[in-house]
Amino acid sequence: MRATTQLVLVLMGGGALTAGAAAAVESGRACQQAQARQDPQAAQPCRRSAWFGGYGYHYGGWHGWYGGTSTFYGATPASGVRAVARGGFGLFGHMFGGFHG
Amino acid sequence: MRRHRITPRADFPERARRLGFAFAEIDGEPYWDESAYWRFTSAEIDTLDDATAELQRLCLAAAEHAVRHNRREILGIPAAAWPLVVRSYETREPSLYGRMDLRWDGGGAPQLLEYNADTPTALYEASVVQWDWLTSVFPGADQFNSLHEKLIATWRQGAWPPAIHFSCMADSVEDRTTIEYFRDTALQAGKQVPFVAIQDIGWDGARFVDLDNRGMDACFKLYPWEFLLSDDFGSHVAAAPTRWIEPAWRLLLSGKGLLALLWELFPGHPNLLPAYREPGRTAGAEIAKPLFGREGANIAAPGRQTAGPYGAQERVWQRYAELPCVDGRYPVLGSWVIGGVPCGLGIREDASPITTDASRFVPHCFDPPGKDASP
Repeated sequence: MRATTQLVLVLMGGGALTAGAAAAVESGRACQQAQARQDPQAAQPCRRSAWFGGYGYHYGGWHGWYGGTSTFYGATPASGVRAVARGGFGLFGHMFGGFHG
Repeated sequence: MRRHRITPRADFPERARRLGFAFAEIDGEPYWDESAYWRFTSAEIDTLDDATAELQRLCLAAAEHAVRHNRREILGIPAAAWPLVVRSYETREPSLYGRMDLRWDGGGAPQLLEYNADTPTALYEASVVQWDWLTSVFPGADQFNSLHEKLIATWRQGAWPPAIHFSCMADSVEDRTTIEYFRDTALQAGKQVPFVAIQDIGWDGARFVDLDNRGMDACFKLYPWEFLLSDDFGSHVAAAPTRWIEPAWRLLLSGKGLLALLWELFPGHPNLLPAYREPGRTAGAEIAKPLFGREGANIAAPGRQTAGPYGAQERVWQRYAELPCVDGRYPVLGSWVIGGVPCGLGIREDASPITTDASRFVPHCFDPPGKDASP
């Protein structure tokens, strides 16, 4: 069905998690594991770590699209420098653990 | 369409390493399984090809209908997201790929179980690892697999900017390998392909930026739309100039609500199974699926129920058509659509009729026209 191709894979670069991302991963995993154990501590919905700004998220539902607010962090913006917020994507991926189609 | 047992290649670990296939095993269990393979006739591959093309036509017609007639509710798309979806559709934002999961045993018509139209995976192994298997094990046979070429061609043809960011969760080897493969194909199509982890995407008040604060004109995201819009930065998506791949209109197809809409629009179509947003209407045993569930989670089938995080979601009830069982394995046929065209097949098997993230990828081949399909 196709001609043989010469596959040139791009070498993976980096790969190390940022400290913030690693913390978020741990937070999400710990919550999921607690739920899996039916740990009483997991009776409350898994929530974002403080790193994400403490947004309360009801695990298992996602009908509140557009519901969050961004948390700016990082260097204090100097005059004339536009502040960049980060960490506003990825939480749901961590919370659900897997999402492949 | 026959399943054959075969001795795995002794040098597979070395081949996997050379290909960069780092998830041949997942959590200590085999994911890539070449202790068996599926062999098709050329006519059977044509049947799958034709069925996929027909289903693609039906799906695009359903998307058009949904937008024209405001069928947001049957699809389960929140009202806040609908304008973005409609705008994406109306502006014809280009789509790259999707994977239809089909039930088929080689007889009758293949039937659509679901359409993974947003973030389908298992593409790298279908395109590259499976092709490597074919050329080393059955060099005289063929494979339903022009994925690599079609990806490059679609990157070239699509109306995307010269630089496309690629993004996924950084801590998943499977996702990272898959995204690197996409980057490779886009690179070969002449694109600039910077990577930024989904967690590292920034918002500067007007646009999304990478870690170097470069604006993201376009972004291929291996991250579902429902997550993207649920995250904090989801509130910026509609206003940002970033063009996403897959585009937002793919939400019309990626949820299980599509199955109910398809059956409403094309009742009795041989490539569809009856499906409704309410239980008890299919006149038979039913399988209940969360609207935006994944990896076989929170599925309720006759005699079986799976756990998962999607239990709070609304559901679709589809007539239960159990997968064929051969050698104790239940295969799902993943039929790939790249640039709107059917162009490849990947088969995943499970010991259960419900395919999950633990299901194994089993390669396939077919004999060129005129040749017998015997092993």
